[in-house]
Amino acid sequence: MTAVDAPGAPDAPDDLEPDAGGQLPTPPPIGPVDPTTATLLDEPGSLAAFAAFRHNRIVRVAVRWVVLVGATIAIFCAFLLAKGAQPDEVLRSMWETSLGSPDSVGETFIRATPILLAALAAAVPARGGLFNLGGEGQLLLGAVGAFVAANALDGGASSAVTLVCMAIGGAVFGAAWAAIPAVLKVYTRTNEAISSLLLNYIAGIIITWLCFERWKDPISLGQAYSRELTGGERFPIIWGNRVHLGIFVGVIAGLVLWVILRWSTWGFKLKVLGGNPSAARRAGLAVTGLSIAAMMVGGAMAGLGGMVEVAGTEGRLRPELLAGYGFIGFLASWLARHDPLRIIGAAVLLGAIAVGGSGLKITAGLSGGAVNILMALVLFAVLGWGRTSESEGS
Amino acid sequence: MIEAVLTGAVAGGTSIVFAGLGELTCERAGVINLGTEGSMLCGALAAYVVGINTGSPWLGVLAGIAAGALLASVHAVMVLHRHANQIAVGLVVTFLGTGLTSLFGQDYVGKGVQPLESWAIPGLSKLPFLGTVLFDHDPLTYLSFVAVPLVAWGLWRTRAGLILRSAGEGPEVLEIYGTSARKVRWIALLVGGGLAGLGGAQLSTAATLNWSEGMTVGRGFVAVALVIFAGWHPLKLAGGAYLFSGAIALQLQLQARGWEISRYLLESLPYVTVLVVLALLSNRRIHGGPAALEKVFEG
Amino acid sequence: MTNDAPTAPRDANAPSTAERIPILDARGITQRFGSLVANDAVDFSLFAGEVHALLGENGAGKSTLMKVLYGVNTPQEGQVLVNGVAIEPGSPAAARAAGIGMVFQDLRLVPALTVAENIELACGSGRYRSKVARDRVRGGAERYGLAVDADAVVRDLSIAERQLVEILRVLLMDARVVILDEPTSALAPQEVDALLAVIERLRDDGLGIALITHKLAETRAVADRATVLRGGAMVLSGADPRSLTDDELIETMVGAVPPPLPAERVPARTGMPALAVSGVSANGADGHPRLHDVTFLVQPGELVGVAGVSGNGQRELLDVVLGVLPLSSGSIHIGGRDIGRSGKPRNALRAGAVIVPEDPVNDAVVGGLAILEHLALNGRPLPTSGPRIDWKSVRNLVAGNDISERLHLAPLDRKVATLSGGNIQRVVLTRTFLVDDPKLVVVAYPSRGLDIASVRATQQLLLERREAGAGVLMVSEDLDELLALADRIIVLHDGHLAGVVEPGSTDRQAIGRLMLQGAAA
Repeated sequence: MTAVDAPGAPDAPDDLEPDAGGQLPTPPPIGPVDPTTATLLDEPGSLAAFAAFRHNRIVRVAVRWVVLVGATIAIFCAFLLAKGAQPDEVLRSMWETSLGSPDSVGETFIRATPILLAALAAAVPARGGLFNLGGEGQLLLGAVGAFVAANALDGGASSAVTLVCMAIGGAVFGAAWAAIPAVLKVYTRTNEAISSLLLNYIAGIIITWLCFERWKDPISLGQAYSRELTGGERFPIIWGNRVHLGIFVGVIAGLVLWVILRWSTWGFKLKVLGGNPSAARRAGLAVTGLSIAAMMVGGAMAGLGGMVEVAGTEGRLRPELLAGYGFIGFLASWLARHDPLRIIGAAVLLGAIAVGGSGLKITAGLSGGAVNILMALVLFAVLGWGRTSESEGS
Repeated sequence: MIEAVLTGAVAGGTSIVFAGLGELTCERAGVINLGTEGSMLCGALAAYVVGINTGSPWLGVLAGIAAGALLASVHAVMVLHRHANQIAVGLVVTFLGTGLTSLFGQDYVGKGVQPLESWAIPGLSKLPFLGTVLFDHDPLTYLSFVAVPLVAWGLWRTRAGLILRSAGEGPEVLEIYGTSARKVRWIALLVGGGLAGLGGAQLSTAATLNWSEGMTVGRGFVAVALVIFAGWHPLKLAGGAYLFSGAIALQLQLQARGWEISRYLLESLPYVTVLVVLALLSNRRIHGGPAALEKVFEG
Repeated sequence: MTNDAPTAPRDANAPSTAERIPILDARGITQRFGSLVANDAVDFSLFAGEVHALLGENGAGKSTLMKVLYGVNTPQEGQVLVNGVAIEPGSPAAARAAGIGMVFQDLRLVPALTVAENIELACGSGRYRSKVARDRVRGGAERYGLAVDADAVVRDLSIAERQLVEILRVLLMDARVVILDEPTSALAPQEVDALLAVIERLRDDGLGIALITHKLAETRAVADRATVLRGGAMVLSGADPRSLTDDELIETMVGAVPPPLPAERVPARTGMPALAVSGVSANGADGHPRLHDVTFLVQPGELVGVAGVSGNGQRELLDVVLGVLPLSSGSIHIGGRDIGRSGKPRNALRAGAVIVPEDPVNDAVVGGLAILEHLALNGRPLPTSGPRIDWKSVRNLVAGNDISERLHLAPLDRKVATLSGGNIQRVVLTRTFLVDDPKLVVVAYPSRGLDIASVRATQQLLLERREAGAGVLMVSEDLDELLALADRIIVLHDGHLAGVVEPGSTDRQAIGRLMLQGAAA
């Protein structure tokens, strides 16, 4: 929020602060600001006990979240009922597939990793005031980059070296793909939200082409996918059948970015840019470089996500690889208000819901895409009602 | 071949024209609605389902409009009442739309629908070249021919249009004269969502005659891009929509003629075209957009 | 006309005010915001065919009172009567229906629409026909003698022209009372005269005009009565301004009259100019040419003022000097260093410039950051220790001198989003004056939003910078401020340098002619 948004209702005494402020042009707030609300909120509550209860911040926040979670689940159940499914059965199967057993928890972490990295891809540019809706494409290009590196090495290096090269390949490809909207934004003022969105579809076509033609596995017969990565090109399994070392990549990236964004000079510059690009420019910050760098760091994160997916979970390139994960990552970033530490939690939550989708499919016979409804409801709850500062802050 | 490409451009462009007009209405009122993609999907499914169950494609079209508007009302609540970020909410609304259509469309995949028949316009459709390109289409396509100038007329020649533009250019001024900008934006979103739903309905009941998950493949997002590159002008928007669908038609024609170009390269042509044109025109669009819209992108 | 001494009472045949019912009568208005009393039992009445000036400093409560009259604010006590009948408080619609019209200081027009469309928005009804709307504007403009073009897009109009549009709008809405909120603050002297002539004509038509201002000259020129507010209280009620001297009026407005600025000045130095602008042409942010072949120097230890009607290239001049806008031709040197033509602020800042931009809220501050964080963003390299920023050194810098106290800076940990416009201006000024040994200080409208004490402190600091050898370039819309501070004043007109004048050997009318007519004057 910029300072422009800050002033209150039009009747605020803007020429009456003791120190006489308010002569600068502060536009009145747009739209529906009810001039009476401010005073209504200041009215003391009729019941002292209720006021005390109301002012207990922890209680209020807890009540708010219980209501929000309840409403979210209730609305989801209503949709399930409308479809003729049994909500309790569906929810139970979702719970069991995503969190009900150690195996399913592992699966949740596997799914959460690309979401986490795609979320960081949205979060870093968002700190600088840019909308990166291209996580989807950057994930895919990262997977391609990992394959390019693996193909180039062709088994000629140790597993560790190969994986590092694949990670670099993924990050570079993801960053390069994210650089396109960034450069278009900076040099031609093309809206980066729209251009990054369109690039997702082009990335999807590139993957399809690779799977159907360029890199088609000769022994795949009718199926379209690439060769399977060999043992040295895969993350080692650390637990169970599927949980691989790659799940730490996202967490580590999140922690590192948290430190950088919060404490470093670069993070501060990005915050200034995101808060007010015009002020950043007039303070001598290299706005062009910062914008491109922010998008590319984001793209690199998503690229890593694509690499982890192929080198860890999938082992090959498929056309439908990671479909929707870029968008889920974008949602996770907004869920966490672009804070990398919170993004880790948000990614696990959305990862669990995504895994629940396969439970939905297998046990309840419903379309797996239906979990998108639940994710959307969670996001609405947080975007619309999650901010407690409205009633408490000012 | 030119005839075939142009015919394909007009037929395929209809859904994008409708969605684009809807988005244009919203953006002129100062709200960007990335939920257009979701509204199209909902419109496509609702029209398809109602068309199958009632046997009347026209009832289906009405249902499509209603479904699109209903989804847009979610955007309205979040953006106009909860003041959440428009870009983020729009994407979530689209997510909701994909989820809902995935859940409720599951049983309808591959079922045939009673199609919205083409009406060859007597006389005109016999014209050489133009007859096939313009006058042998489904009724919704003719409706889109009318809708484009109608929206332009409405924007600049009616009080409603004046108020709509003011909601996007100077909402605080509108409020002074006792018109609620929020109310205007609500109406714009409902109309916009309805138009997107109509576009989706055309897609499923007149164009593909089928339902499949995510069948709009980004047409709603393309519509958003087109509104910007059209400089928020309905006629230019229609041009952009036909450019996009023309690129698809051209790609199909080239493939059918066995051109030695990868079909994947060709498939990306429409998206690349829009992106390139957008980039080329953006520099001139610095101050083209409604003033309230620019604030959205300032975070 | 500004200097015309009013002669006889203007409406000698009218019955004395005591016998008439005022068309607007506010009685005992008290408006509180929390603990702050914005208006304390204020009375304000207005008769038909009268101009009543409401005087007071920034923050005296003038705007609050006007918002009460216009129904934007609901007062805790008191009522507003129109022709003796109380109107519903807190309803602008009711106020409008009762014939009260208001011309806001930040004009309430939609820039993207034409004049006719804007007026249609305000007072149209029924079916919209653009021809009818345009004819109404033309007819109204003719009837009231206002030079307004119905088809012009408001964005392309000057502030003075927009003001006329607003006045016409109010008149076409059948207002009998017109409230003008600081209408002359952005106008050239001749434009002020033209506006005052319009006000007099409207008064002679029998309208009641409430004129909010802090300028004595225009009060004397047109006002029949004056009411003065100070700190929310009414210190003078409906007196004839001619019965008071200037000093008495000033004292009612501000209490004690602040001491004047020192008249003695160290002369400017010679040597490497602090700023050399040679043959500069540039396009504005919208891509249209806004500056044409501008050439001037600022010597070290010299304060150069920039005058002009707002929108005549001041913003672009500031932006090219800072390197925000690229040059289409010419060159700019700061302290002898070429800052290039590509539009990189970094070059200008590294060459030793510091700046207070025209629009601090939009161009200088980040709402979510604390004041302390802003003080680091002064254009010099950020003070770092390792990969982090050395916030302690910034705190020490502030503590090391008295600048923040002199400017009454808010606590360093306050978020800027919570500050008023005046306090934001203080943040930007403090940041600028904290920079050690600048070659060039560029300030736009330094006293905007500040009370008189802070204005004076700011002016002192600017002069101290000048004494210390920095070149100072100051844009202001307040001719008095320019005349008091500047060694030379350059006047911009339509992007051209219309002339350079020395405050000692010129008068306001000459500057006004340059502002309005350019070099041809």
